[in-house]
Amino acid sequence: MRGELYIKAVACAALLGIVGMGCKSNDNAGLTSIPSFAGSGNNSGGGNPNIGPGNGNDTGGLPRGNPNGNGPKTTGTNVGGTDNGDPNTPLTIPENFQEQRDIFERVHFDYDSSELRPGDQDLVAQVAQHLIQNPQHMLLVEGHCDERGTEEYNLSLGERRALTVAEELVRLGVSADRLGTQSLGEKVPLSEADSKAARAQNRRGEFVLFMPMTGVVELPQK
Amino acid sequence: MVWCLLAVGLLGLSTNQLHAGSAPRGGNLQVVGEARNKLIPIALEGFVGEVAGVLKFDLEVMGCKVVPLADAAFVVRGKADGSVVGALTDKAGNPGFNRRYSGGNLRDQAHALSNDVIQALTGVPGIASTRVLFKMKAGPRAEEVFLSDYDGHKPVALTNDKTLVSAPRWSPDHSKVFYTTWLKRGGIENTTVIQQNMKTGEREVMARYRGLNTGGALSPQGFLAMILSRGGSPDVYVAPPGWKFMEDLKGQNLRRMCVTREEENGVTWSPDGQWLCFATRANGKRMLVKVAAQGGNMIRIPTSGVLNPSEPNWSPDGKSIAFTAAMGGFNVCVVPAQGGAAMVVAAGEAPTWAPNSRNLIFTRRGVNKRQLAIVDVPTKQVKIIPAFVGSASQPAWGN
Repeated sequence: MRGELYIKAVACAALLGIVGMGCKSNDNAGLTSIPSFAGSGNNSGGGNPNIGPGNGNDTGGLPRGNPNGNGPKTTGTNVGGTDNGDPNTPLTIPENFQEQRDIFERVHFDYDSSELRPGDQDLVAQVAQHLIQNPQHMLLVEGHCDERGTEEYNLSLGERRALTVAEELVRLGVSADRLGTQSLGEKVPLSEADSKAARAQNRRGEFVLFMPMTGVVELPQK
Repeated sequence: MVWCLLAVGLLGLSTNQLHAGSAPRGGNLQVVGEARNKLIPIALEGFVGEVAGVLKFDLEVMGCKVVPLADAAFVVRGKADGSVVGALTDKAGNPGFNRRYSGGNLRDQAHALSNDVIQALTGVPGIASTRVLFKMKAGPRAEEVFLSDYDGHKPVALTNDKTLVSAPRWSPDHSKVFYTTWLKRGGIENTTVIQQNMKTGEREVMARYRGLNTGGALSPQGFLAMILSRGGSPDVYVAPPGWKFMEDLKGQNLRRMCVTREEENGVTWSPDGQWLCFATRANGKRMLVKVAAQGGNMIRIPTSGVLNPSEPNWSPDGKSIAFTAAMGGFNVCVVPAQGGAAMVVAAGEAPTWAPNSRNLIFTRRGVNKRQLAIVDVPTKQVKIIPAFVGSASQPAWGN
């Protein structure tokens, strides 16, 4: 499997070595040019709902780091907010919500891929169904990688995996407002064994459900 | 800090030339041109213990090979009796310099002597008194940003958040560092780009949008490049100088430098701030590209001979880009900044350049932990930095 990929890549590289890589600016699927800063919308958009005192969901201060390693100090900078309707703002979990991990089965990915496996579609559909039936619940999709990519690459790949799952949930009718994505790259492996099986296990998407602490929750039938 | 101490120390010392008047400082001992691509055989005479160890490590990092006197082209004679004294000559005894060092501790003084040897031999300032940032993993979900001497000594934690961190990077003037943290806020550990002032320890959130926020890299002109997934996929964004995240929570003044479904990663500026280089994928192939600072098309930087480049780092002299190639294992590679044949220089990953644009510090994976190593690019000589308590990775070379 790994060897096969390698050979494919070599062949691809050889071809590209001859042809060179044409970065087509007019190809939407390829590489695209960007407008400049000048004239980019400066509209304030009215009062910002995300910051300020009296915010019931104050996200807490950011402690100061160590200046050259000399002991931590604390200062207060509030970040984030509670406007889950704004796609710019991180998902914010109300304080009376609890975190439920491992309610839903994990999805898995092929090496170096962020495509949802056809066999995992049903797992995502179960999650979608639950979220549609429980409109208060919120979900964080975590993207994880095996250790065969570099750390920076894996961080972006993990996010791409989480986003692919989130896209599928939205496609199935879940409001994007209730979804967050988080990459953990290769930082939190399920297995640290150096085996094909361990790596396959580590290339995964996890569903972290947030729900009110009280109330009966109907879990999906497996 | 260390540098200041040494500078003061050096000003105050008596700088004596061996055989006074016979030669300008290091004047006739220069190793230049092609010879700089080979290891310089050098002997250390009279040094013992820690000072001898520091000198050997430093000189070998910077392209020398410490050899017995009989095999040496140059000799550093000296001692450390309370302070370090060192004299450089060539094999025939032609003098370079003879100096006593003060300030700092013996290690610092030995680093200063190593720098003087390299300056005398090559005309290029040494890097033995520099420092590096890196990430250290202390537990399953506990990583902190650390700062140490370039050789791993005197490690100090810059953070104490007991969470995950990623990709510490210096600002061009080294007054600030940027890193990614998973600090929990509002019930989730949404990734956040932090700027930390090295003098005061003050921290500022530079990006905390929904999804991925990482890769903070500041240009000399003050533009901040980041990888954000707020637009639905990880893409490269640039914030203008003076931009404040807290005043632009909707990101309206951010400029998106690419629009792809791919996993952009590893932003690095050219030293003149005119280009932004990063890793992406097009037509299924992973590659390095660059985009003009003011925006425009992505231009491929060919890295022929190797596959799956990521983690690019542009050299301070602007001439080269170091990166990691993933071909089964990981290789640290160097390619001319305009692209071309990639040269594999060491097994490892996540390279960043020293101020001399000659050395790279990088990560090497061991059995149970990752550790830092340095390669002298022209000679490909690798020196491993002794392991820390935790697993060290993602180094960023400072000054």
